[in-house]
Amino acid sequence: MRRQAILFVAVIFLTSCIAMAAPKSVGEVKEGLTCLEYKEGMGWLPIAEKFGDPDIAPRPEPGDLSRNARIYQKITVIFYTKRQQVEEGDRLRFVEVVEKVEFCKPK
Amino acid sequence: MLNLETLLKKSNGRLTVYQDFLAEADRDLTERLTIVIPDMHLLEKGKTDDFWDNNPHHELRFLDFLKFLVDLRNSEGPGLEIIQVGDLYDLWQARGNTNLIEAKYPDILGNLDWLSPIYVIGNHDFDLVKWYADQTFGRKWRYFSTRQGKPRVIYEHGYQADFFNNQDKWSGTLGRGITEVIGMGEYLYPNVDVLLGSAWDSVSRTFTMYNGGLTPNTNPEGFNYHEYLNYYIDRMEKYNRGDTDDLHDPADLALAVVGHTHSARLVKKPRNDREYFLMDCGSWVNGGHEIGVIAGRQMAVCQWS
Repeated sequence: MRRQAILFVAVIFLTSCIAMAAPKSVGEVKEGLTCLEYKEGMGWLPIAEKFGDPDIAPRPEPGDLSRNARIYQKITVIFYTKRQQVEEGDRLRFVEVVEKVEFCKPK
Repeated sequence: MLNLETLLKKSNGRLTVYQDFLAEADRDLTERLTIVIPDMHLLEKGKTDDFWDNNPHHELRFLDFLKFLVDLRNSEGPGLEIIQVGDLYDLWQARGNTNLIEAKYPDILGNLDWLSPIYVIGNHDFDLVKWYADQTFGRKWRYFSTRQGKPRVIYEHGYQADFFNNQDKWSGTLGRGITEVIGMGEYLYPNVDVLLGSAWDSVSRTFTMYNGGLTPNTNPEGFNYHEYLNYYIDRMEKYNRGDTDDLHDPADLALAVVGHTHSARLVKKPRNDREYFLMDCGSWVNGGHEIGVIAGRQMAVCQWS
């Protein structure tokens, strides 16, 4: 009977809100990661310096040797979003848009 | 058309005739000043990259040369023709085909493309013509300079004359395998390829001197550099007879321009009442910095310093 009571209390405790992990801030998530913000037209060099050689460097598609794709397989992507007002007829509406993207690799 | 002397003068002393590799044909060979860039073997600036050769000066020197060519293109326009005779990339040892080489040399490859050269395929970048059906990334098997409507100069990489590197034959596959194994050795000792190449040259030269059977007689692909001339004279005579599917009419070839061996030279040999020339333009690997120049009747192997 005593064992059953302990098990009951344990189940209730472990499944309760008290046992839930505290939500992490983005700063805490980024601890232990090396991150780089993506910007349109940025050079490849800072990416290669930060992340090293890609895991896969596919051969170029037909036509142009200067256009290439480089693949990192273990990357964390962080999208920074914000709410943005959009017009839709006479109704006021809001959507979420991405204002910044960061790619991170474990340090 | 700019002649050789004017070209050398324009370079302010940076372009000079290499050794005594200067000759004149008995007829005009080209309608335009033609500059030939031989093997570069670009890789990813690692231990196996023989262009980089762990010396940033090699890249800077080539960039200076490209600047000279860009200025020349701007002043001469279509009066200048530039031909890269293959092995621009070294795909036998590349870690990510051309992809990561492009990442390391955007300035060189961008300037080269801007110059709109003729790209001839080499054995080390042969994969470019194999990846896709009917897609060769603008690479040609060979190219001709014409004068008065007749082809007078043939440009090939030169692997065709090399028994162990002819990509159309089993022997070429064997040669590629050997080279790839030696290439791995470069991680331990970067100049192992140069050493083994010199050793092979000495052995094959000795055997050839004593006619020791290393020279195949019926289809003389070469085992060493000295046999390339006969191979290309045979080839030029074949084209001049009109005995090929490549050209519609008989040609009037007098000069074959190649790379491949990384050993610059310019040799002449008469046969059947005419003079034939073979120009090996040298290379830009392991410190090499040579180019071929053909202007009218003049031809020379030059060095950019």
